[in-house]
Amino acid sequence: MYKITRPRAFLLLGCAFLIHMTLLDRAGLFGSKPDLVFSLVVFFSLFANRRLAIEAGVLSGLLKDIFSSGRFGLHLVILSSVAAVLNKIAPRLYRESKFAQGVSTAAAYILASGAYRAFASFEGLSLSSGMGWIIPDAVYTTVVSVLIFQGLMEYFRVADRLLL
Amino acid sequence: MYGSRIKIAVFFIIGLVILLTATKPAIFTSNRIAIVDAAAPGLKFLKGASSFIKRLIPFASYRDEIERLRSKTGLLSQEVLRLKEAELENARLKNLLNFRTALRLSAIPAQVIGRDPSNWSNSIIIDKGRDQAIRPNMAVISSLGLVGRVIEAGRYSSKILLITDPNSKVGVILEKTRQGGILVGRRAGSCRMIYISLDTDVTPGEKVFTAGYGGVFPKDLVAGEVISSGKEPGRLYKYAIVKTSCDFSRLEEVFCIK
Repeated sequence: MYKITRPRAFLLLGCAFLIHMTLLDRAGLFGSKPDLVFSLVVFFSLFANRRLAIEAGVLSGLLKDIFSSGRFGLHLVILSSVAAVLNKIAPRLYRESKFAQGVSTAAAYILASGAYRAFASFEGLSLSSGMGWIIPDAVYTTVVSVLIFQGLMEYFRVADRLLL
Repeated sequence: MYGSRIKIAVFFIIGLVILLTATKPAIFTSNRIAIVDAAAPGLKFLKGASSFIKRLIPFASYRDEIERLRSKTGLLSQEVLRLKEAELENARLKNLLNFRTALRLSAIPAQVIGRDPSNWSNSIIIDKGRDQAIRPNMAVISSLGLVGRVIEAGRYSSKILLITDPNSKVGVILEKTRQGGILVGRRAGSCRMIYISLDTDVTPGEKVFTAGYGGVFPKDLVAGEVISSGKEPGRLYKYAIVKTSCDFSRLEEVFCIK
């Protein structure tokens, strides 16, 4: 049983966002870097209720749209869609399994990046140049996600005595 | 009465000496070092004697002195670290200042205050905006070379599209052959130079400069150097992979060119 409250979720998203904007470039491996904000959206989609998952997706997308150089609104649409879809299929998954978490994150990241590139190409922007980085970024994000999900599960887990 | 006169005379002489030294008359300035030289052996002897006497003083008070010095050493070690950091910063800023002086273009210095929060685009945020005369499409460089261009200018901050962003395109030329092409971003500190004609000899290590077409980027700014090249499959052009001259993940200061 997990109890994810809105203030804690949004605070975590804010911290991840700040880390991404300030420090994460230094954590790059061969030009690839993990997407912490995306990881958190996946986590909330898997473990939180539908409303909070979509709110987390919308908030993350909005923040990314505001501070990044890409087309405005693309992150919002993609991340909120990821949150909605993943939250829908989450009850069918064994969420505590690292394998399930890893596969969910990787698949969501690859589909989201592909969608971003596809939308960008409709707008006349370059499609092919960024495609080669989707898989390395997805792998790195997945590895980091599986690691931080364990800590987050502990953080949000409600102790058994509280359930009784 | 006699004593007070002597005191007045001593003060008068000291005052006169200070006054004369301060106004630096020729007789003092030219001969002062000669007087110091003449007095040097005597001064050296006195220094040696005082050191010898200090060594003979009993060691009773040394324990407290050691404790005091130990704590002082700790503080000084921290101070040394702080000063080393300041020295590094000083060297970096001096380098930037020299670069700015060497740069003939009018440049506005700015600090990088944020990175792109998305993995799908490459940009940075700087602490200067319209109030500091930053305008969209201004070229942005660092002391190492081309960084990108301003895409959005707020009042106090601006967004810079890096040349490694897949949507960035810059007109460039090769150093040796002066053959032109387009530099397209491909992340990870490298770009792809496309539209190089097939008969052009592209050698690894060759520098790539901005061509100056289009009016955004001034001519002859270093963009990077070629690390490899090849033929575009199914096309009549060559391409070259160009390593950018800047490490964008460690970029701290940039210049916006007017």
